[in-house]
Amino acid sequence: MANPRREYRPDRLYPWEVQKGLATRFTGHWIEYYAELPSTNRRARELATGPASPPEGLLVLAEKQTAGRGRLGRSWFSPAGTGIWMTLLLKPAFPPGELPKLTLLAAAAVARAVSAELELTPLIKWPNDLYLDNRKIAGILAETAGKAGAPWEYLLLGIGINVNQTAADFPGDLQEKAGSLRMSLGAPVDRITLLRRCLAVLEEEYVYARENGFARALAYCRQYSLILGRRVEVKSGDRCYRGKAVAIRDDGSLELLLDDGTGAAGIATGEVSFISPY
Amino acid sequence: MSIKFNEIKELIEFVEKTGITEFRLETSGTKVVIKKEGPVMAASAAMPVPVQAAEIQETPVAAEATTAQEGDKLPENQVTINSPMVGTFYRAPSPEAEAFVQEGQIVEPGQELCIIEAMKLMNTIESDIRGRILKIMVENAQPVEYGQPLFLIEKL
Repeated sequence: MANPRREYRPDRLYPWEVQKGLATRFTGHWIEYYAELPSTNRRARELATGPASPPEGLLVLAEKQTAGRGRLGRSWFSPAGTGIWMTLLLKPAFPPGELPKLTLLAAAAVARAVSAELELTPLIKWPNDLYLDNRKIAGILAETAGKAGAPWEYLLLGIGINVNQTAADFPGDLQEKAGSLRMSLGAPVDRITLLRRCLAVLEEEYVYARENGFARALAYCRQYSLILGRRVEVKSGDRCYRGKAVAIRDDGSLELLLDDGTGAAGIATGEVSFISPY
Repeated sequence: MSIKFNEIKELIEFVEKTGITEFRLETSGTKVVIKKEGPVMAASAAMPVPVQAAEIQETPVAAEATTAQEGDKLPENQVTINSPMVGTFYRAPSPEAEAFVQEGQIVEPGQELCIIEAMKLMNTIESDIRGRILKIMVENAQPVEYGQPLFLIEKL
């Protein structure tokens, strides 16, 4: 929360500011900071596959993304200085089938960090978006690449958090759907403090999952789910499922009790939207 | 229980429409095996894959243990690239973009072939060999299972 007595510093996510008092073992110890980038995921991917071979915990930060992406090329509105647009490089030694759960883990971690730092409780719209007051305030887009059959060498967690936008900052088509921490809190938020907390919680959740599995992160996703118990439509590839969201399974997939009476379906991929109750 | 000719015909038609390459049905005393021909060569991408053989046997199942195995093996110069996880198969990085690869194309090691999406993890699958893509075995935007073959590739 804004502290009126804090010393003056520019509202920029400069690495030396972020790293001051950063309580992590490896996350954010190497930061690449840009005033503007097409997309932090794209830059992180160049680094991950390039000769520099950066260590786990590399963070790419940008004040503004000109081609910030949601999934499959959809854009993510990321104007200058108002949000946290970042990509974290991980080198997870999980079997490939476990990797998708890192999206849910990241969503849980960012939600936890926001709850700890501000008096707000974001809800998670499976699998990757955070909501406050029914508006999207954050999203995760994870990426990995690898040769078939070989273990993945890296995973990128792209995280976008709307921090200090006001309603007027969003373009017309987002006005009803997008929110920010500031809009829900009613006061501006210190981005650097929040970013440090996000990195600390992300690392803590990740290290915990590495040793103990994903049960704790999944439990958080269930407890603070926006969709469990509600009737939803899930567009998955070119299929569409309608039903009641009844569970997030241990493999991270969403279980729907289908409207057509054919029983339960586990869905690994999809865009969830709400439809009216029966 | 015996299976009627019409039912077998329906099964063949059904299998032909799907990405399934092999179908087996066993009931007491009856075994039906429908197999599609392996690779369909490059230019004929749009052509439906012919159903090569429908073996119908009214013999006891146990007696037929080994024959089905033989057809499963690919020729030595061919490999499949399989899905590393449950998810959705995409042939292009975004709906407007061109497909990463086409049937008949020669790919190099490290070349991007497709994306498998699972829980907002976009997983770009790269070729681990140099070869020619004989067949793309899954339609765009379809769900895939763990280990499901995605591409049939002739090693070069």
